[in-house]
Amino acid sequence: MGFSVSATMAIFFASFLILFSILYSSVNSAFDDMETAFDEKYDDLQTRSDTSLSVIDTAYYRENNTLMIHVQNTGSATLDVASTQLLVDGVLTDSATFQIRGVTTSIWQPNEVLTIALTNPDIGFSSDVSVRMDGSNYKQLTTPTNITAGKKVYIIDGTAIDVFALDGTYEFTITDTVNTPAPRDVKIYGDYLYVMDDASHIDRFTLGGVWVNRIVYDVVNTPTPRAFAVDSSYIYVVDNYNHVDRFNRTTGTFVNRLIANGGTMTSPRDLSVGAYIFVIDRASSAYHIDRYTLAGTGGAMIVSSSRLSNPTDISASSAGLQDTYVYIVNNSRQILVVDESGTYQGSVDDGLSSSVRAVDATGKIFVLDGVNGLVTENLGTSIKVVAENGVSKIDML
Amino acid sequence: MGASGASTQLIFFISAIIVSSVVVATASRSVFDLSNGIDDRSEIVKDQLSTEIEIINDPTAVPNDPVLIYVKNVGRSSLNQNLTTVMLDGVAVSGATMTLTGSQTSYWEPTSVLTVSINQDLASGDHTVTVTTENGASDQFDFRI
Repeated sequence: MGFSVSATMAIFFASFLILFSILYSSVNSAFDDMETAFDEKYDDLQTRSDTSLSVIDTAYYRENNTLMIHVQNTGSATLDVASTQLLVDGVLTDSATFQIRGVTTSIWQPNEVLTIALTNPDIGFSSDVSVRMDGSNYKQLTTPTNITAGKKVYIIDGTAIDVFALDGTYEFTITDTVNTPAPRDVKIYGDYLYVMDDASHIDRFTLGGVWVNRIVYDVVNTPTPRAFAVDSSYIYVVDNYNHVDRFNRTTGTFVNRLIANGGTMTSPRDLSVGAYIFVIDRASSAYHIDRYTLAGTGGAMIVSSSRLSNPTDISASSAGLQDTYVYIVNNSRQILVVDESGTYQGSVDDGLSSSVRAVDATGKIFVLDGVNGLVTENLGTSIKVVAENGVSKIDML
Repeated sequence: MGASGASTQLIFFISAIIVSSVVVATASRSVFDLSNGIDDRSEIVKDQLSTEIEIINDPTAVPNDPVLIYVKNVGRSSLNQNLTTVMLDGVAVSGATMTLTGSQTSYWEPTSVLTVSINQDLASGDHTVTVTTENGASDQFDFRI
């Protein structure tokens, strides 16, 4: 009897040891797994809380149809460039290029600025925007008359040209009393700033404000230039409120009289060139907007005088954009926005006084206001940058 | 008595061995089951812990008709996009097209983005989308059209 009990106990004891060790190893490995998973989870949470982005600036360049976005890694975590996403107007883009200081790399360290370049971006005017005005700056401006925007914003102020960063910060002033004593119109294209001196000629400056040469000076064909526009190939000049001439952009040589007076063209005041040539024309004491092809043909009115009151400046979206719009300074108090067929899209007057002078629209709408100075208005295109771990930043164009 | 006593002892002994073996066999089956259960469960919980997804849509501009939902794998495990469930306004979506961006394989790898395209024209107003992965990790996103 005693021996049987002892044997049973021995079997129980041995089995207990074996089973316990099996169970223990399972529980132990489960705990190990959990511990590792929790560690990783907390690591990820830590990295996310250490991640922060800041959109420094956004700009659209007409000359290469590219949207440039500069985003700074303002957190303390190193991020993966290749795992960064860009959404423009809510749509994920897969053709953007990501570089840091001009180099394609995968490591995005703290404080480094990532440059995102997107060709052929889907940016356009949205009539429904909760915050239209982005900022304004009247500092430095005295008697501003005209504006152009590209890599920077150039504003004719009296006889000088004041230069602002795209965020509205004043940077420097260009004064050239010898070559352009009376600047009236100004356009930026590529690496040059084109300045029209009143009823005389067009000169070229570097973007830093150094005079380069006299690019258009033609007393025979275009003796009295009043306004002009620039695209990749040509400089289009309104001569004497009468007709439009065309010059080669790089050499400045006269190409042809693109749109002669008569027919659709009566008394052109200003023009802008995108996918078409848009002209503010004056006939029978009233203004209207006409549209011509780039060949100067097919002239037709797209905005009638009933919608316009003394329009003073016109700016068309770049031809490269998927949706193009025309921005017109109307009644000195608002920016009228129509599509390229002249269909009304909306009007912008947030933060504007009753002395709006000029407009240029690139990545934003840059308005020159006689009271508020350089007023920047949002187009209404939202952009979102998402880091590898899902931390993101939204900004508006 | 001597011989019968010894045989009784022997019978008792054998019976004790048999009974205790049966008890041990039953107990070990339970212990094995328990151990397997713990292993399986820990695997599942580990998977759930290492899975995290984030809907990275821009809430101010969600593409409509088709509705495009962008879901980023911000966890550590590779997922199978075909086992992902999408609920739009509380209704499970069937027939959504799933496309992967940034993944080197046919699986939904960490940091890559799954684009869910739903052929639907949402009415203006508030909407909610919930994306749930194969192991139950999910993310919810509210937006207005």
